Amino acid sequence: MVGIEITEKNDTVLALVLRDIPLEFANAIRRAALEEVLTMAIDYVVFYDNTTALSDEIIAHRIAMVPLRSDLAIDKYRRPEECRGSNPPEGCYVSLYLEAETGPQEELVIYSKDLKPQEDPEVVPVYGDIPLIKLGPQQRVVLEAWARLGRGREHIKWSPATVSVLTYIPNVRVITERCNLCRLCVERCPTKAISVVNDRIVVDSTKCNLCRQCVSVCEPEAIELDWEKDRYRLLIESSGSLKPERIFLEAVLQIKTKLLEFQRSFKEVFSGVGGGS
Amino acid sequence: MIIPVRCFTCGKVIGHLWEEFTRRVASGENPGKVLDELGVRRYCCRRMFISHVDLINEVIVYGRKV
Ligand code: SF4
Ligand code: SF4
Ligand SMILES: [Zn+2]
Repeated sequence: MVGIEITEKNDTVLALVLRDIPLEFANAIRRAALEEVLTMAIDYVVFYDNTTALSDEIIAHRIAMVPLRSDLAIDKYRRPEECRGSNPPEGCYVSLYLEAETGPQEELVIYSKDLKPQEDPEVVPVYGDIPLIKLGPQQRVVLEAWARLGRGREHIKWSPATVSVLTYIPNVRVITERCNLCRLCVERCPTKAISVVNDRIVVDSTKCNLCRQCVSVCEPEAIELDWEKDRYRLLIESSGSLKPERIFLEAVLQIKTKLLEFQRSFKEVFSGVGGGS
Repeated sequence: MIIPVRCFTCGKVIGHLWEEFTRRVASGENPGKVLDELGVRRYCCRRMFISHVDLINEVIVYGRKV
């Protein structure tokens, strides 16, 4: 039976064990988390003034990498498909404003929290303490940054997940009758998953990373290494723009939307031939 | 030159941790321990801290005078 078990969950990390979900589908969720889920990120920066040592391009690139809160924005703003061209419709972009100036003796660090939302107070940097620019004496920077929804496949700045990995769950078995207790496997295991308890080799499969070094070092071939066929581990680490559990849900929704689109075009093709309805 | 916003390799946001990292290391704490406590686990992210030189402080005087 299909099942999901949470093994770790906090503000940025979600670790799940997926049961009876085909590998291909689990991997589709993993990829969708990286590439398909919508988030807000800054895409245009208009400079009104910049006399700092950092060029406009460097500043624009740094600002674009700052994750913006997206949990409310993904339902509120238009999708990137609707925002193409030089004349995007209402509801595509939202702007943040930054203005700073230093006196003759002054130095000043500009942080991500200094990017002030103009229209929408919900779309703000997730982390306020990221240093963006440093100003020397008598320098000035004034800019407007325009954010829109986008997907990780267009540019990684829109990806809500910094890590999204699917791994096998190892299953290490020791055949006790063959084992001569030479302990070579204990020494070799890089994750210290193998230990000796009461003159028996005991393996903690949760620590194993499937490197197979124990198998290659074991003379009497007493170790069998395998992985579980019906369970996979999915780990999602969030950039902060969305909660990791939301990333998972949105990834599933994105796949569903694509399948429905596929179904619709499939029906269109066949409605002409009279094959399906 | 100035601490990158994210890790070059994995994309984890690290910029906001830089000032706490330097402050604590300057006060004598072990850099490895500070990174552990800041939740910087992967070594791609850890090298962002230990290999960074904050040259920005020398560059800021060369602003574009207008
Ligand atoms: S290497 Fe093989 S024989 Fe030696 S202790 Fe490990 S399992 Fe037993
Ligand atoms: S496969 Fe590698 S990590 Fe797993 S138990 Fe063997 S040596 Fe340890
Ligand atoms: Zn990293």
